[in-house]
Amino acid sequence: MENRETLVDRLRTAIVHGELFPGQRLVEVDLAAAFGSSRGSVREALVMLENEGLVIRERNRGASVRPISLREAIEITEVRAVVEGLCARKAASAIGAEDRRRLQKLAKAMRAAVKAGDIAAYNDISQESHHVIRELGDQRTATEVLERLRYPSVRYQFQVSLLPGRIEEGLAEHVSVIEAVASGDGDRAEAAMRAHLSSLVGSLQKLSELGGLPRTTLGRTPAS
Amino acid sequence: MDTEGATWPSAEEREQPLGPTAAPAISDAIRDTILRGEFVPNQRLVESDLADQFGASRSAVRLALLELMNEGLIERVRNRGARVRAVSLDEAVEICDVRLMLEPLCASLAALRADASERRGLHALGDAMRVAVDDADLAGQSELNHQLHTLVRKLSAHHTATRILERLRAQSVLHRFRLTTRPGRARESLTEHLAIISAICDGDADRAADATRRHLRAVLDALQQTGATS
Repeated sequence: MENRETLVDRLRTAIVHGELFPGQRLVEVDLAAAFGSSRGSVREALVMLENEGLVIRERNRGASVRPISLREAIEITEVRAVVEGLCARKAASAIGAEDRRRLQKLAKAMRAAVKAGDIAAYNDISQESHHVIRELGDQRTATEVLERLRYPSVRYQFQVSLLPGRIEEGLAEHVSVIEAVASGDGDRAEAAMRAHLSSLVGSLQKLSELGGLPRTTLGRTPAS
Repeated sequence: MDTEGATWPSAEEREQPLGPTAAPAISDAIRDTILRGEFVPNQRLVESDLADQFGASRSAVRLALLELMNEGLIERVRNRGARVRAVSLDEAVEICDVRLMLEPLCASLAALRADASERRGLHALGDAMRVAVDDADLAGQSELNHQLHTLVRKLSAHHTATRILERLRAQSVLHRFRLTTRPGRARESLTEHLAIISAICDGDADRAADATRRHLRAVLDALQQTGATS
């Protein structure tokens, strides 16, 4: 069981970082050799990653890395906008003093990261703030839906954060989400989260007009 | 796509070994059995029994169970295989909450995208619903409702939302409780569905989303009333 978790994580990282690239066939024996595990474990890991939308398994053809189009990344973000909006609403009605402080600390850290131009830190804190809000919302179905959407669009999100002015925009949006959730006003929290992710959809569309991902940085998470 | 520049050993020289090829067929078969209600919530699923029943190897069955666990249809029991998951009332409410977010999105897109012949299809479905309600044909009405929700998803062409809604729909067979149907609910439900159809056919995205929300809030109310009476 533990063994499988590790293998899933390692395979996922290889896909998200582009070491295993979109469309590449995933041959069990080769992966087993490369990762030093059994074919059975590889096979199970591929099922898990298929569930996360990172791998496609086809009858009689085996598995391959699922290519994610920019259009799909936009769809994913559209779904996140409404489902995370629900989480933000629930979080606002559940929030206590300690969680409020926790969120406000994140806002402060994000402000510092943006001021320092540290895009990697900005992305990490952004992710954490979404995670905290989801946790506070405590919605099992919504959480499962969001977990499955988490990885496929990661590389596009990173590209978006490189667009001029995007992290400053993102900072302002996150701060307004955090303030709304902290205020306990569910309507406001839902609206702020939707607005934030709709703005991300807008940036993804901008990326699409620019012709998508620059080939050289495809899938790489640059060092900070 | 080719495998040029692969960091990992390429697949070119090797034929794909038997691999996971057989597994999807078995997971489809087990899933269908659950969706047909032949495997019921909380029922134990024993690997060796399934292997016999579906004529598959135990390792293929294990893989299929993993897939169905990911889909939320079954759950693992430590050291004891798996069982069909039972969806509690609270969880059914949460599922409905998520539908309440995604289905209006699909309905508004359907309103923007449906062409003339698709609109005729929607109207025909509405007419059939009216007939079913007039005949007090509850099963027929329920089937037509299902068809409408499916069609709206398809017309939206939003693949991500569609995939999620289909998964949630599959989980809805796992309720252990029965929805109490108030007298008069069938006709209300008809009115709600016809409002969705009319908004989509008018190409009015906002109204389509609102009508869908109204319908799902009524479903949510019915769920909560079920909770209050059970």
